[in-house]
This record gives sequence, structure tokens and C-alpha cells, in this order.
Amino acid sequence: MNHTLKGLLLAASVVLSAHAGAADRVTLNIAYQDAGFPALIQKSGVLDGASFDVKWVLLTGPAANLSALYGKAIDLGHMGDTSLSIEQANAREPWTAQNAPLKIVAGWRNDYSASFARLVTAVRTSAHIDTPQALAGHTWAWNYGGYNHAQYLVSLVKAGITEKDIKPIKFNDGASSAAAFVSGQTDAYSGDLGAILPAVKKGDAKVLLNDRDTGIPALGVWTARSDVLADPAKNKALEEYFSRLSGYWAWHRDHQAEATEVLQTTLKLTPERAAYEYQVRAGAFRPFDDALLAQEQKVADALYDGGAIKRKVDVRLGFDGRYNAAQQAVPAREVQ
Amino acid sequence: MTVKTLEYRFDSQAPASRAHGSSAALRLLVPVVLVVAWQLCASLGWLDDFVLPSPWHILLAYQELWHTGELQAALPVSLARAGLGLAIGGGLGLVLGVIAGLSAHAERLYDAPLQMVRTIPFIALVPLFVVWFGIGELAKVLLIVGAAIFPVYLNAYHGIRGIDKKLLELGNSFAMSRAEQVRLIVLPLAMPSILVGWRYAAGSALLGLVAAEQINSSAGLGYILNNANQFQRTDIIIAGILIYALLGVLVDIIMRQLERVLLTWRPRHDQP
Repeated sequence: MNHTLKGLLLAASVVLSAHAGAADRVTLNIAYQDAGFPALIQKSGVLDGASFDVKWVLLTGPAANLSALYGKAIDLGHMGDTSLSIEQANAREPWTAQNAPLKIVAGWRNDYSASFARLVTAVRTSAHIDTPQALAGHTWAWNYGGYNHAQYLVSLVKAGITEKDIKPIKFNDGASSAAAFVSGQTDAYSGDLGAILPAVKKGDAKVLLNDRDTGIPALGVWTARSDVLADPAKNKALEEYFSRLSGYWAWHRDHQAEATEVLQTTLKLTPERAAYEYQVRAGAFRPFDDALLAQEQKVADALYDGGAIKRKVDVRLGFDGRYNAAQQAVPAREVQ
Repeated sequence: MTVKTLEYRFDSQAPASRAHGSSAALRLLVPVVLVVAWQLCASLGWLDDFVLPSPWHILLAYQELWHTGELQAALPVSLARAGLGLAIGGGLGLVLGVIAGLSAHAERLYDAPLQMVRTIPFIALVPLFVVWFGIGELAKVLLIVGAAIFPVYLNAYHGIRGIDKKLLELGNSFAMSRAEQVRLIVLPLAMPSILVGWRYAAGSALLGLVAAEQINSSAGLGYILNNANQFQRTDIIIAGILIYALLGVLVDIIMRQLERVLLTWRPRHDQP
């Protein structure tokens, strides 16, 4: 009887502790704008054995990511590094260090390379535009918001012209803007190089200015809600998450064929585009140091000067570098 | 006299069958000529593959999607979402439309708000639905419900309101109860319009998939299209569009068959 009772108690305690363990286990809901990165992370195995669970959420475009963040459906939203500047400028209440609802907690990009630039201002070769100044009078495709918009505005400044000197063709998304350029309906384009890569490779288009020329950091970033960061359990899980992910970049570098194959099959890319995506998805987490924040501030100011945002913003309010050490964040370098 | 009748039948059926065959051939002629011309232009290098991929490249895109298993996975997922959204949205639209059609009070109560909501493009609701309903199946299905509800509502409402009042008066003269009038007069006469509403709703549900599958989808036709759009795979975009077109035709055939079953009393224009 005594043994039976002991056995029952032991079984009950095992069940209860297992249940408690499962309940204590944190789940991070992490969004990405395409299925490529989650597939690569899974393939790399860097999250195997983690003390938390990750639920990947696929949300296309910054608007859907921001909605999901505000709706508390996700913990990390994926966007470009200018999205929070726009969000801050559009906020009903001006952001302060205390009330900022969102913070960028991770930023990454490849090293600076002319061949694998993330952002470009390109022209069609048939338009015979050889210098930024010669862009005057031409049709120019761009899309509203984000770093594509900043690339367009800073390119105008670099060219020493204003929107009145060109024929701006505005789109709501980068894919449509690129499609208009590649199909020959505009002479110039500002945005993602990958989207116009076939035209550049064929010689139908050439790059006039890249993101190094315009000084735009063009980071992919993860943004968290402030209440997520204030939750000790989630904060701890995020610390471990980024620590584990810091090991991903070495895997990416050492497994080129495997990573390219994953990108090609997951995203239905042409081999040429997959090779490009492999390169631009390489790199490391980047630190939120003074140099980066100064660059980000310049981009935000360019957006303000160009009328893309209605209020001047302090970009520092949208960055939180608490995980930079765990991320082993290093500044981007110039490479060939 | 009997012989004459038999002769008439034989003579009349053979040309009808031939006419049906030639009609089908005529229907196919234009699409076939267009596809051949399209392929020819592409093969001669007159078409940029990015602008308009050749039919052959579109077939290769199908092969790619089939090889990775995405097409097979997408169809049941998308059809289940569209079917569920259509059933709920169409059902709701039918109930609301019938009630508004029968009751002036009900019409005054909710017709104006529904007409206002009807004009909102459902693609604009995606970010709001994410905030309100999260990133699971609920938000996706509700977007499709929103796309499917109004065609059925409007057609049911107008179908009932368009019934000749004299027929209802006739029902009163025969001392029919309200339920009998609805069953024997209102529903049979409004049925053609209601079924047209369901046909439109079925098409809208398929369109709604593209918007709905922007929300955290890793499978489905909308997901395939959105992904191809993101990475400029025009061949996959056109392949996806053609699947939608095919589904649209299939849905239309099903709805026409349903009309034939439910509206046996109505003369058909394609009958000799």
C-alpha cells in the first residue's frame, strides 16, 4: 500500500514537473519577410537544443510586420532599418526613450561590395545616362518608404538635382518599381539590386550609384515591442537566440553550395539570383555604434528633407543594442 | 407518321452533334492559335522572357512547382481556405440577403452599413486583420468571408425584391402562410439571382486567397504568387494566374450544373 502510494506520488510529480517545464518553455514568434532565412537557420542547426522554441511567421512587407507587432501576434518583426524612422515620424505621440513602443534589436547585412550591393540607383543603357547629373529629365522608378526611398532621395542629392528636374514614377512596392524598370518603362530606378539583376547581367542596365555611394546602411533588422524586451523570460530567450544565431554566419560562409541550394528551392530562384541572394544574405550582425547611428540619422534626415516623413526624428530612440554582444556584432567591411 | 417522327429525330440529332463538335472546336481555335503565336514569337526572340515568358517556360515553371511538391500542397490548402470562407461568407450573405429581402425593418437596420463595408477593398484590410485576428487561419478565412459575403447578399436581396408583388398577393388569396409563401413563391423565383450571387462569390473567394495568403502562409496558391512576385519570377506568376483562371472555369462549371439541378423548371438557352 505504502509502495503503491509512493509510486503514484512519484508518477504524479513527474507528470506535474514535465507539465510545468513545458509551460515554462518560452516560445518566440519571429517574423521574416520570406521563407529563405528560416529555412537556412533550420538547415544550419544553430537553434538545435535551444532552451526556447521558435515559431517562424512569414509576413511580406514592413506594414504586415508592424501590424503583427502592434497586435502582439509576434515578438520580432522583420523590416528595413528605415521603417522605424517612418513609424516614429508618423506616431501620434512623439517618441521618447520612455514611451517608444518598438525597438530595433538586431541588424545585419553583407560586407560592402560593388558586385553584391543591396541598394542601387541604376539606369537603362539605352537611356545613355553616364553620370548622376545626366539623370535630369528622365523617368525614374522608386517606391515609397523604406531604404529604397532613401536611396532615391539621396541619389537626387548626389546628382545635384531635385524631383522637379526628373519625371518621378512612384510605386507602392519595390517589386513593381523594378518590374517597370526592367521592362523598359523607366530610364532610372532606385531600389534592390537583386530585383533588376537579369537586366544588369544582360547589359540592358547599369549601376550608377550603390548604397556605399549614398551612405545608406541598408540593414535588414528585427524589431521588438518594448513590452517583450521588458519581459525577463522573453529577454533571456532573445539573448540566447541571438547568441546562437551569431554562429549562423560562419555556417553560411562555410556551406555556400548547401545554402544556395536551400535559397533556390525555397524561394524558387533562378540559379543566377540564388547565387546573388547567397552573397547578400551573408555577413554578420552589425553593432549599433555611433558610426551606424550617425548614418541612420542622415538617412532619416534625407527622408525628412525629401518630404517622405513629416517630422524630424531621433533615430536613437528606435535602436536598442542590448544584444549586440551576444550577436558578436561587427561593423561591415569593404570587400571586392 | 411514326416513321416520319423517327426520321426527324435521326436527322435532327446528327447535325446537332456535329454542330456541338464544331462549336467546341471553334471555342478552342482562338486560344490554340494565340498560344502557338505566343510560343513562336518567344522562340524567334521577339519577346523578352522577363516581360512575357513563353508557354514552354510556363510549363517548365509548373514542372518546377510540381517537382518540389508545392503545387500539390498548395491546391488542397487554398481550396480548403476558399471553400470554408465561401461557405461561411456565402451562407451569411444568403441569410442576411433573404431577411433583408423579406423585411423592410431588417433592410433599414443593416443594408446601409453593409453597402458601406462592401466598397472597402479587402486587400486594404490585411494589416488590420493581422492586428484584430492575428496571424493564424482565422484572419485568412475571415478575409475570404469578407470577399464572399456581399455577392450573395446583394443578389439574394435583389432577387427577392424583384419578385412580382402580384404573385405574393396571389399567395395571400390562396391563404398561404408566410412560410409557405417563402418556400413556394419567394425562394423558387429568387433562386436564379441567388445562384448568380454564389457564382460571383465563388470567384471572389478565389481572389481573396491572394490577399489572405499574404498572412503567414507557407503553402497555398496565394503564397506561390506572392513569393514569385517578390523574386520577379514572371513565369511562376503567369503559371499561378493560369491556375486561378482554370479554377475559375471549374467553379463556373460546377455552379452551372448546380443551376441545372436546382432550376429544372427554367428554360435553358443552350437547349435546341
